[in-house]
Amino acid sequence: MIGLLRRLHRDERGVGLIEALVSSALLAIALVVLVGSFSTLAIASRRAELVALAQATARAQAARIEAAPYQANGDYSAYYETLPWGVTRTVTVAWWDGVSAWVGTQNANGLQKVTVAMGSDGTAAVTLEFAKANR
Amino acid sequence: MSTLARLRRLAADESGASVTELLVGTLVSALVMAGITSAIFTTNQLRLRADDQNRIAGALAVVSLDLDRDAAMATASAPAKSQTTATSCSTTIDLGFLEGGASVRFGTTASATDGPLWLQRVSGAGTLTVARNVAACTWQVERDTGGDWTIRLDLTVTGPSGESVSHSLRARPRLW
Repeated sequence: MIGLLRRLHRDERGVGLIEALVSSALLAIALVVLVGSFSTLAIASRRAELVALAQATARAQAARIEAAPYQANGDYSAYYETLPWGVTRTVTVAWWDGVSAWVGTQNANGLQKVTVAMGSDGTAAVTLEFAKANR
Repeated sequence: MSTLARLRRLAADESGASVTELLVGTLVSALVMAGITSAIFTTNQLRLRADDQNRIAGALAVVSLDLDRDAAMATASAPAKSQTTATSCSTTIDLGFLEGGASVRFGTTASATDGPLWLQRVSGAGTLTVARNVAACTWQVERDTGGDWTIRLDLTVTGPSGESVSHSLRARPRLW
C-alpha cells in the first residue's frame, strides 16, 4: 500500500482504471455500512416497540382468560384480545392428569395450565403460564 | 485552466487522474454521500421516529407492569369497580388499597412538556409518572358473560415526531 502511494506520488501520470475502480468500490462499501447502521437503528427501535406491545398484550390476554369462565374443552378463543399489527398469539391448554403431570387431552379433573405466547416478526417475545381451576 | 478544459484533457489523456484528483474526488463523493444520507434521514425523521418508538415501548412496558401489579391488589370495595362505562383517565382509577395513608390511584394530568398528558400513579407515598406523551386515555371495568371483572385501559401514546401507538391494557383484580 505504502509502495503504491509512493509510486503514485512519483508518477505524474496518476492512477489507472483499476485503482479508480478499487477506490469507488471502497466508497460503495463505506456507503453500505453507513446506511446499514442507520437501518439497524430504525429496525431495532421498531422491534423494541413490537416486543413491548407483545408483552403488554400477553398480560392483557392472560388477565382476560383468568377472568373468563372455565372452559372444559380448553377453548378460550371467545376471550381473545385484539392483536396489534405485527403481533402473533398462541394459546395452549394442558390438563392436570390428577396424579403428576399436565397432559394434552381433556379430562374432568377441573385444572388447566394455560400458556399464552406472543411473538412478533416470527420470533417469540413473551410466554406467560398460569393455572385455571373449575370453581 | 477551466474545469471544462481540464475534463477534456482528462478524457483525452489515457494516463488517467492523478492521486490528488482521485483523493479530492473521493472526498467530494464522501461529502455528497453524507449529505444525501443525512437528507434521507432528516426527511423521513428516522432518528426522531426511532426515539419515539423507544419512548412508546418504555411507556407501554411500565404501564403494563404497574397496572398488572397494582390492580391485582384492588380491594373488593374499590371505587373503580363501579366504573362500567368508558371514561377519561382524568377520572382516577381508584384501586381502594392504601399506601402511605391514601388509596392507590391511576390518572392523567395535563402537562406542557412531553404532553399533552401524563399518566400517573398517585398514593400517600407520592406520585409516580408512569407514561408521558399520552395523547388519549380512557378506562372502564368490564367482564365477559359468566366471568370476573377486569380493568381495561385504552391508551394512546404519541411521540414528538408523530409516531403513535394505541393499545388496550387489561388487569385483573383478584378480589373482584
